[in-house]
Amino acid sequence: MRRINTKIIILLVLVSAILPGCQKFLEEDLQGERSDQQFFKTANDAELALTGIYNVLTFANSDNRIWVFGDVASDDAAKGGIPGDQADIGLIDDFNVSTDNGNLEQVWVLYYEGISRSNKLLDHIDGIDMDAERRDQIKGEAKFLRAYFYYWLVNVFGDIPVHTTTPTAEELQRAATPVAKVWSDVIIPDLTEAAALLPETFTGKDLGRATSIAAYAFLAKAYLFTEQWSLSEEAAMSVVNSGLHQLALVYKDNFTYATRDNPEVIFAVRHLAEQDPGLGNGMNSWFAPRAQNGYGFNAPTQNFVDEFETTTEGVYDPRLDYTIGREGQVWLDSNIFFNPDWSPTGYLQKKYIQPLAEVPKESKDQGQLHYIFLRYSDVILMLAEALNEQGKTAEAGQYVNMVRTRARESFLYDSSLPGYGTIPDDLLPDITGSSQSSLRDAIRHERRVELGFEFHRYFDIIRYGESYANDAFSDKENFTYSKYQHFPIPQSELNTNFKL
Amino acid sequence: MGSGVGFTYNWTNTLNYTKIFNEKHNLNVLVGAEAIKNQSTGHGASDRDFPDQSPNMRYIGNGLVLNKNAYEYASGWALLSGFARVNYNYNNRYLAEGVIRYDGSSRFSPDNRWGAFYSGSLGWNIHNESFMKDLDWLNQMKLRVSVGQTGNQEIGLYNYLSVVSDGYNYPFNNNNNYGYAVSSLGNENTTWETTTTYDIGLDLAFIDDRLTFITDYYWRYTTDMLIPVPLPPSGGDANPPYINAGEVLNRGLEIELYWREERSGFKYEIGGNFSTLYNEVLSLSNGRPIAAGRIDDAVYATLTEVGYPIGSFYLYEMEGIFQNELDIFTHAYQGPDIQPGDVKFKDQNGDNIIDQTDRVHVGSAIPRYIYGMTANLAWKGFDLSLFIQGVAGNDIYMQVNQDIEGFYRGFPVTQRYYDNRWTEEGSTDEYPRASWIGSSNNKKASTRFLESGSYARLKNLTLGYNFKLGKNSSVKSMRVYISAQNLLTITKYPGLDPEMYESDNLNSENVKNADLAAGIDWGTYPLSKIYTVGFNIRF
Repeated sequence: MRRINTKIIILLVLVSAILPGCQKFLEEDLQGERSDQQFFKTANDAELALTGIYNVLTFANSDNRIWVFGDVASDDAAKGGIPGDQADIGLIDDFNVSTDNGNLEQVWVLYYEGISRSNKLLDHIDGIDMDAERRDQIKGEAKFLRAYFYYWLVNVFGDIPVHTTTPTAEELQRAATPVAKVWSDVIIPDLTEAAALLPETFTGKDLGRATSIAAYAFLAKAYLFTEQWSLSEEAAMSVVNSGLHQLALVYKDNFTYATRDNPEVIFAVRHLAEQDPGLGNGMNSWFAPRAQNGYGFNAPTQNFVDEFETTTEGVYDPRLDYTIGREGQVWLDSNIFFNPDWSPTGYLQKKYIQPLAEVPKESKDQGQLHYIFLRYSDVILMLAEALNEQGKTAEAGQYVNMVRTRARESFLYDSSLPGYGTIPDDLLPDITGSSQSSLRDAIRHERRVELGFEFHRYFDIIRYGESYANDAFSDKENFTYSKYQHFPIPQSELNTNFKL
Repeated sequence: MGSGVGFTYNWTNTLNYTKIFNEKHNLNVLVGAEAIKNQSTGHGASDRDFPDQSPNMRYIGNGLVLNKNAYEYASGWALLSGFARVNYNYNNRYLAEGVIRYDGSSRFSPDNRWGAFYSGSLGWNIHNESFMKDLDWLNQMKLRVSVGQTGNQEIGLYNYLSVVSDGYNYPFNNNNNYGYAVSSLGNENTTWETTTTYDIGLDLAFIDDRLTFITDYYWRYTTDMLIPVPLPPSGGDANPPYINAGEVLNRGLEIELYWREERSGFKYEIGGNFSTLYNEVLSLSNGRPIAAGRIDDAVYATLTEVGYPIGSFYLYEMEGIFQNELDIFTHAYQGPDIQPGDVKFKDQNGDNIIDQTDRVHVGSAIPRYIYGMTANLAWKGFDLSLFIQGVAGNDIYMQVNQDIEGFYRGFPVTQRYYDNRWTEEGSTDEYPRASWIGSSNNKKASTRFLESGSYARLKNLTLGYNFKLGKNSSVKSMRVYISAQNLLTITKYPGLDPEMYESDNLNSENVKNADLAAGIDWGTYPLSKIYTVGFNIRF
């Protein structure tokens, strides 16, 4: 009996030693990082989360392929690069696109991640105790960015699933929302609210954030896509009347590092070199010639070059050489001339590339130029289009002429132009006394030469309608308007979302 | 430069009680508890662009780059278990055992930490029965039946939490600003994965244990399978959590046969084992198949679907090569740029278009048969041993061929592709024309790159000699030997090594679901043949 008692006592001691520690013993806290329950608590957390949304915009990420859809798919550009490199881009150029094309997945995943981050912040922002004015601004910025991501997704893919809050597991299975509703229920309301919440300018250390003027400019664009002309005019006039933006003196100031923040820029994606993780503009490398350590993608077509006007003496619209490189012309550095063998089309575009004197070959992907999403001349042209479509052709003509005048006057202000000092005769004459339909053609022409390689062309072609598109793609035998208004939803979404 | 420390402690207590009643009833009871805890920490720093490369200047802080990296981390996990086992046998004839254990893990959320696992078995030592007493050629005949459960918790340490990470920066003005975002999602409902194995077996031994034969048939059900089921990318790109996602069955037959003999100084033992394996997914959490084995953007080589083996290959089926324009015209529509010389894929559903619906289950990386053979011989100081191992019935998707025979970029091609590629009508039905434009069709993930992975390999062959030593020598034993590992392999697999001892999928940065994507060869480094000469001496 004694022995058994001792054994039982030992057993009880052992068991009782373990039991109270039980649940606490199994608690292991996350170290060095926070869970989402612990984050989104302070004003600083809100700023960190907001910057995380801006992070998706960067072209340091080679998954950011909106240029493939905006430029290469259009009549402005061909794939470029050596044959066989990035063949999937070539398939998009040829309108031979299946759901397993890698570019579809890259854009889809990246931009939906941006939407997910915006939704997460907007879900939590009201619960954070912070300065009310800054809270409203943060909401405005998050909504602007969410509208940006939905803008690209709806233009590339058409009917898409929409999330405006963080979805639960069941809500992840979501059917597609039709294009018209994405504009009317998501993009336009987000931009309208953003315009009300944001300040007119951000300066100093906040330079680069979305402003209310940017929201109005974006709204003008959204209303154009949905053909709501008078609302587009109204939004564009808000930008014009603010007096905060104007056309740069010289067109190429927008694409030069020293003047990249001139007043024409309304909203741009910014880049910074030598950061870890990298924030340099990868396009400095992707679109540059292989001879300079680039890849040579997004090569301009002869069709694009032919769109530019010349004088009777053969002087080109200066915007041609500000946009692309061609034989006989200086290529960025003053001592380097463009070699047409650098490209299968004989041309390369230069809006995102800096001279080797600024960004050497060895750090080619550390470009610091912006991607300008909205600039004043785009707003002017949108205003002209909106006015013209409402029959206000004379007024519209004035705005188109502002853009042409600026381009023409490069000869007065850009000392590096050969023939600087006098404007060549009949270069880019003002448009007068045109009918609505001929001004419409003039505006479309002006948009193409003014905004070339800013990733807008394909979406402009599609919104101009079927006959324009068929004409633009007459050399692409696989293109049909009904099939390629939008591109297919990628296979990885079809594999996991069973409501599509 | 970095360092890490991990510390694990394990505290186990058991209490054992044995009692024999009436000489024939043997009872043993074991009760115990175990607590295991691990704490790991680490830190490190890195620097670049050293202007002075001499060894006494290579220190962190001397690099020219503005951003130096420093990091530190800590993590831990814990397991707590209680268990009890009862063992009973009657006169060494009838055997019974039962085990119960209760385990808790820190990796699950507080509501789902604990799992209970039961086991039980019965055995019948038939050779000890009275009616078997006269069969002196039969040494052992034991019939066994058992059911057992084990638990699995091998998932991330903080799987139930959604984690916010840094590094999502953006420059405002010209300054870098820090940005954070959710980088992986957690799931609070995840709990233990349970594997329940039912087994029936027979152990036989004959003629003074010279011939032994063991056979088993087992059914192994894994339920609440822990899989990081991929989520729709329209919800964001954060890593998906492990969830309890389905049920899979493995079943098979195992046979083992050995003959051991020793006569007049010659001692030998020869034997082999053979087993079959059948694998089938029984259910998936929302009934939907899971694509895995990512071999390119939006291209997945495997599909885990109910009714098929786990991670079964899901590919286009190559029918041959288009020989002429008429061939292309009469076949289902495959794309606008198809030319003679391109790969022809089978239209599985008869809809006259080749698209994603024409992919089918075509094979599995899981072998159907696994076998091995060993032999050990000893005679007058010499000893010889060999070990052969092999599998059959498995497939390997040779991803590396897609790069070196797919001809879609400026990579070198294999000799066999160069020699055998299609050049004109009737030249071949196996290898397509070398065309960069055609490659997007020809390199599609299909049975073109699927190979049989069966192999038999002589894993080990050793010949040794033990020296005869005098009784009073100070040397206790002395042996010299030569040995070869992986000496000989018989296989039809054209890649480097069908054994693929290490799954390359684990190294591919884009693979998120390695469990569902075995058998993809990215150029696995092959096992080496190793020749060893050795000399052992013992004092």
